[in-house]
Amino acid sequence: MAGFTHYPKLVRNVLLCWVQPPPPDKPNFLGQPRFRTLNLFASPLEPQQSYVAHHDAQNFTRLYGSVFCDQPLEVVLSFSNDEVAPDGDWVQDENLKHLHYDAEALRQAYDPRKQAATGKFFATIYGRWLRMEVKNVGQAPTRQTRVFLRGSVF
Amino acid sequence: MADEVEVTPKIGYHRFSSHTGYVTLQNVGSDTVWLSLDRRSWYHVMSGTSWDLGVNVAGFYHCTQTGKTYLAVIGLQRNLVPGQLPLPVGIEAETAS
Repeated sequence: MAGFTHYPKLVRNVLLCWVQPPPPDKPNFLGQPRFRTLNLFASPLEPQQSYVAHHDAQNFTRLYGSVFCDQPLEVVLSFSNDEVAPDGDWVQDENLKHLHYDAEALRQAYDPRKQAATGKFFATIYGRWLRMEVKNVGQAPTRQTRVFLRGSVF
Repeated sequence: MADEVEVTPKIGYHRFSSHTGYVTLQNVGSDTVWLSLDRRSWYHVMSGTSWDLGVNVAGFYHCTQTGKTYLAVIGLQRNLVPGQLPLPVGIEAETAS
């Protein structure tokens, strides 16, 4: 007889992350996906530019994470409860960006001079679908960035 | 038979290396898995949760609605039969006479 008798728990719970510069590409522990497949970083964030990403929020009860950057950032977590896209299609990767993210759960002003106070966040879920935006509100392009969003399934 | 299966919005089929007597799997990624044995009825396996059933199947269909996740899959044979079965001679032959 196989099965799990404890409440669900998840080790691989990185939903979104941006790490600049990306670490060298190497195999992960016990065949887990390489970190480069999780890292959404593509290029430095210019002033007033944003990283935006979406994820299914339904699997998680709480969201938490950390922020580090050499520039001040604005981090926003918002949720959509749309059951379908505006055109009536069922939700899929291609139309996640068109949903209505009416429930803003978190708007955090990250200040690199106040790492302890502004370098972490925690939010519950307010909707079915998650949108995360990380905006550079500084005066120069980012040189070092570490933004992680993880989800707790229980 | 243990495998890790990548699951995406495109419907995929995981075939076991031999028929199973018991299947257990766990969604070890961060998106919901949709699972079907016949590609008609589908049910979901949330992140971190597992699904198991005593069933003899060649494989199963899987997909996500959005994103990508991973299934840790174990398929067990109910009986492990030795390569060479003993032939029914000897005692049976004696009782038949």
